[in-house]
Amino acid sequence: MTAFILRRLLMVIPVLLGVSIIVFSMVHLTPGDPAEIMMGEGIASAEVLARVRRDLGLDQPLHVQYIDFISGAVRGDFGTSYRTRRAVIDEVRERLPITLKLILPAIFLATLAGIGLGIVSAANHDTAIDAGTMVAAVVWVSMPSFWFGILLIYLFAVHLGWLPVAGSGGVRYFILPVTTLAMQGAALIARLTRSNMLEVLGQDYIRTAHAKGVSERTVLYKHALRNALNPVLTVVGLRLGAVIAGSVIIEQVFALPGMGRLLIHSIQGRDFPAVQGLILLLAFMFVVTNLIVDMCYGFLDPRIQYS
Amino acid sequence: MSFLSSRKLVLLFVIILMAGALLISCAPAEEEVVEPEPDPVEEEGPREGGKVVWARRDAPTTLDPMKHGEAAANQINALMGGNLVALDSWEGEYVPLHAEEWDVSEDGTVFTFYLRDDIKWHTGRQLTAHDYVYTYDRAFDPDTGAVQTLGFLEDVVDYEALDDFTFQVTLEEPSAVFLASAATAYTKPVDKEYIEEVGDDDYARNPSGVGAWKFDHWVTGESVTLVRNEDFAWAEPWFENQGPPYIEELQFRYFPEEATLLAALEAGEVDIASLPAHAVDRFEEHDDFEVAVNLQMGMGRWFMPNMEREIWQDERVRHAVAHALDRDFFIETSLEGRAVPAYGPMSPPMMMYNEKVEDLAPRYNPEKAEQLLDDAGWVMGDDGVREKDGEEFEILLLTRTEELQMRDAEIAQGLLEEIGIKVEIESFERALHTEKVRDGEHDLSIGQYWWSSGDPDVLYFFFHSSQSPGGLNSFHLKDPRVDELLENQRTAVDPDERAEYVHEVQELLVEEQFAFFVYITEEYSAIHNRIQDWMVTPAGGIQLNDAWIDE
Repeated sequence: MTAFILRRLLMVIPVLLGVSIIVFSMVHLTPGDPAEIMMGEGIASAEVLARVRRDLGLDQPLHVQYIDFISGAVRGDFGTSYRTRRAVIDEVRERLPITLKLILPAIFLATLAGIGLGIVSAANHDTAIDAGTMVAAVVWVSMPSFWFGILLIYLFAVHLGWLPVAGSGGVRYFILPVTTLAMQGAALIARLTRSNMLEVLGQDYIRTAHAKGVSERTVLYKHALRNALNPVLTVVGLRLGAVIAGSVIIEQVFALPGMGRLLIHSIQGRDFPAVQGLILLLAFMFVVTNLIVDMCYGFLDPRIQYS
Repeated sequence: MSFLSSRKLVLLFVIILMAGALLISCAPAEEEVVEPEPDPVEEEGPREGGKVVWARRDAPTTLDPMKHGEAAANQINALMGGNLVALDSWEGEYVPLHAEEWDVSEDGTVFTFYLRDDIKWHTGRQLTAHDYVYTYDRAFDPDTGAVQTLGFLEDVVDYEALDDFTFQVTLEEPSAVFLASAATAYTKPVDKEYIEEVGDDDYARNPSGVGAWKFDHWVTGESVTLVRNEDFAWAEPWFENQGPPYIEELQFRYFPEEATLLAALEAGEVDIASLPAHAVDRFEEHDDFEVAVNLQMGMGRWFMPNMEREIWQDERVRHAVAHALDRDFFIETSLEGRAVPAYGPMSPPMMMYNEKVEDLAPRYNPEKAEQLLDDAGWVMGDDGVREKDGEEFEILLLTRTEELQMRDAEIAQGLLEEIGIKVEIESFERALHTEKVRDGEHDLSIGQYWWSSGDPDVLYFFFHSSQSPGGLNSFHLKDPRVDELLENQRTAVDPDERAEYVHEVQELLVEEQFAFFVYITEEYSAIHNRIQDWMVTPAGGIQLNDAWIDE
């Protein structure tokens, strides 16, 4: 197990190196001139623009710029943001907690609600509850989170006045965004849990368990659920990518100053150092979570060996 | 048969939701804003205290006036302190602010500003001419990276403090534009002692100034909070209240999403916000809000031909296009009537606007347009597209991927199709669009430029040949007559002489139809009606110096 983890951790290095090369190329090959965008509403003559490009080091050959970037990155220095003139790492430090406060509860809520609804649906197979849950799941999966978020804002913040419209002031501020972000994942996981449960429930060992008089509850939670959860776990791991991507939209709608909004602004502003740093960090988060998911398989299914 | 009763089902849901809520951060509970009790004494007139929340969609990235080019940061910088002079945008002239008066040398190159001696920094120290020297030093220091600021100070060759309250600037050549540079927040004085004490980075996050509002705190990407400056006594001359603002706290909050911003207004979380055209009716009918209207400064919606293209060399073709672009149709279709027609390159409230362009500009007249194209040798083909020498009149219109631009481009496409010009539209994200247009890949471009300073020198950046390629002259106009007028207006220190050049260049641009001007948008802001005595200036939008809260 330890050897497995170590090997997987070492694998992170080439993955991140690859990501860094791809991101660097994409960022630098995308048309758009940071100097021009930096001018914003100001007005600049052609000479001033040329000087800005020189100051940013954009007149250097690409490989020199990459080496500068990567040699800084391994030391934890992702450079200085063009837009804010602050260290990228400081920007991230400020914004990461907000994104984590959004995505961690969202994953948790999506998993819990999804599995819960899936079980309920499977246990009540072919009843009105099952049909109702699954129709709701289809509707949820299909609803754009952007639209659903605005809907929740109008209902709970404008009309009922129970919750704030937007911002990151405290726990109350996160209830609507987390719910919105969790919704699609919950619906997907519910559908998946249901179908896996139904498959498992149809197997011989379940019939055996029933035959020997094991209670319905034990059959469901002890015999069936654990076996049904393995594929669900894979999806939860993969959902993380979707949740990170989804958080970009949620941060936009709920005016949360997290990593997603920073990323969007950095891309629009051709803020190369910030884009590179953020993508590397997100890739790192994704890789690590998947490692954690891989390790969880063993707990659910003792037959899985890490060698 | 179900193993869970519906009651248990509900319970399960509640538990899931609660668990989720519990997991969400251990952030401290929301700060309760304690509003001061309203004064029980019933009296008319301003009362002190209260908090105003002003929402915008774009958030600032730095509050160092020399290190950005953002409208959001510029707004806050301007509130935290003015400059040597101020633009009276009703009269279109510069008036004293930090400088009580100023002289210009006979040759127009030396500006001497005599400062007020009662202005204090937020730190309590007195503002002197040495602060201006430091400000210019800092702008010219390459380590500062003062891009926009230097753009304003390009012509400055020397500057000095003649004494504590006399600041003198020497320019390379006479410049009428310099007063605009002495008015903008990009060149406003910065506090030497404070910057040296806290360092450049902290200054950008925690700035000090001399303005009516003092910096209080900043939650990155979310809000910036200012509080009133109790010592303030040097407001712009048009305010009745020359002293500290009555409102205690002014908070800017940032909502990137328009729908969320409107919801925040309706929920009462926000007092002031600009409105998209489609929401104006809703807030005009709203009991809690008033809607302020302001005409956009700068250049309104334009279509610009790429003057390097052969097709546009014939003046008749340009006029034909101008006759086909129906201003009223654009305004009705695209903006629900919430704009005014544009006839020339400048918005009417701008300095030295020439009313004569309104008579000179071609009006919508498709018959005349067709006649002009016939005369120019573009004959109607069988497929409804005009041809000349075997070539079809087909042009490429580049737009940004912005809803309004794309919609206007489609309207133009339809209008031009009616006179036999086929328009292909391609839309690109902002940065890519800028590059393509700069490289001249288009036949026609569309745009709009907001220029809040109100100074007509904006025309130089768009129409002078030196600004192409690489500058804003992305339609590559290189006309010696235009160049000469634009250069002359820059050096004419006498405002009347300058106005002549500015008037003439507007007429020339319209007579030649080097660009097609369509409309100028109206800006709308919703203002909560608990705020009294706010003011709208043509150049600066809503001003709160005289405002107070009645509740």
